[in-house]
Amino acid sequence: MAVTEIFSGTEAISTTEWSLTTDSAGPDSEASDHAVQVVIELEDATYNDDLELKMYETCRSGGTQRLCAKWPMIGDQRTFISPIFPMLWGWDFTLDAFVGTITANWSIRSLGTPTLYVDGVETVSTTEHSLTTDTAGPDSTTDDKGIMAFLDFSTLDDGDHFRVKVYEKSRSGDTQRQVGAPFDIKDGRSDPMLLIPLQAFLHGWDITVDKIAGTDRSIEWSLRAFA
Amino acid sequence: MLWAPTCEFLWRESNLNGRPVTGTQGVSITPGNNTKGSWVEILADTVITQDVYWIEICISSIAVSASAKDSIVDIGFDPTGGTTWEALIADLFASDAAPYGGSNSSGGVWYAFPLFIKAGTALAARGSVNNATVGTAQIYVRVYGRPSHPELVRAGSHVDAFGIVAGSSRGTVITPGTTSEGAWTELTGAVTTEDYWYWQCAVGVNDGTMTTSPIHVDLSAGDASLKDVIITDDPWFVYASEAIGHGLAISPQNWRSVPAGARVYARAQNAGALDAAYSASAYAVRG
Repeated sequence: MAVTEIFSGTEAISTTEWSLTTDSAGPDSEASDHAVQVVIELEDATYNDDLELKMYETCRSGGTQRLCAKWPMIGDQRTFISPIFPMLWGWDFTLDAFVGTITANWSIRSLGTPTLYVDGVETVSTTEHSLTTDTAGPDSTTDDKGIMAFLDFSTLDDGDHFRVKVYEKSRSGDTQRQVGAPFDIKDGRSDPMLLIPLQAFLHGWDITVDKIAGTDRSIEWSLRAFA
Repeated sequence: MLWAPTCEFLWRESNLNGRPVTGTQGVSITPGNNTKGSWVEILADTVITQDVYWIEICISSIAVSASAKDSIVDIGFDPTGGTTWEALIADLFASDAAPYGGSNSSGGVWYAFPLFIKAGTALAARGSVNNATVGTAQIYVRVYGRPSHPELVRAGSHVDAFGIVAGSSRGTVITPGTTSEGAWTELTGAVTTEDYWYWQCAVGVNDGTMTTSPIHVDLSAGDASLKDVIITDDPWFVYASEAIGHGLAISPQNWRSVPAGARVYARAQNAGALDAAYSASAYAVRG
């Protein structure tokens, strides 16, 4: 796996949210396909400084860019390294300071080219819905894939309650089982994109979404493959 | 082994403003007599300016000398920041909750939950006491957000209570052991229907004459014959002033995944002679 640096820069970060892909006011919308990791040196940060790294992406091609995650940093800092994310269509990482002016040096690295495995949109009700087959689920997909899932819950409002489950077989001849505890999303959120960490799927897998309470909502998703 | 980053919570708020106050920490509510009293806002939407990932609740100052006061408290929320309250954490058992500070106290009865509450939400509380002289209760709440590594933090969507008998403002009756552990007593009454992954437990005493003694509570999940112990020796302190305290006992054993289909059990062991009318409850986070 070759690692390459695709963006880098330095900036005195203040109260203007700053794009790390365009080195200008952000967020912007980067469309190149990369498995991305962000490294930020914040040696300039000191006590009482307060800044935040934000990650944005669109769930599907042509969709609306959403806030995916925030990493706040207060005070004296060591160098920050993010997890690895498969970015495709409209992504950016930004820095924004609430207190202080902090010089940040950053490097965005690519560990390869992710691909879209499948995407979709569905008005989800109380029938559990498969994200791999876009039908009632769970189904049992046998494609061998390293998958990270993005689900856009920006349509949820207060009183809504949706549930996401992951399924897989341990061995090819085993029974499909639920993986871990389900993940619930309740009410409207400022960071409405749910990212499910990378998992190596083989024998009979699926990811589903289901409404537990509230109004039927249109949910978008994309399953991104690393291999 | 796996290298892992640390995760810190870089924002916190509470309904304490300024100097701590002995005995009256937080917001006062007036419980009903075996019915829930009126909601009282305990933390305004203008204070919860960040998404919350962790909440700590201290219920105090219910205890009255020579009075038996089993009690339960609801924490309510309005995600729109208004006053249309819905229970967020129902039936927190706070039997004879001790005063905040002073002798025979332990600082009231504390709970802590990894629970997601979105920014702009308002929080409220209401209570119920098994005594015609209901008195008041103090609710002190602390919330935490801005995790430095949100990918390491799981915050649930719901807290479910097990074992509560709302009509008596108590938990499920148990008999603690003395020289050995008491018997496991089921709190659920049926198998669970959700996957849970974080737990708290509680014990109370409804007795107008209590004996000073620590009491340790264990919690387990399983069935009539096989049990996985979730929590051991959760320390509660009973005082001869008819007060009970439970410190902020955040412990790694609070995290335990229990798939749906389990029954939940509690048992207890008391250091001294038993009082009358012990009961226990449990709380589990899902989502």
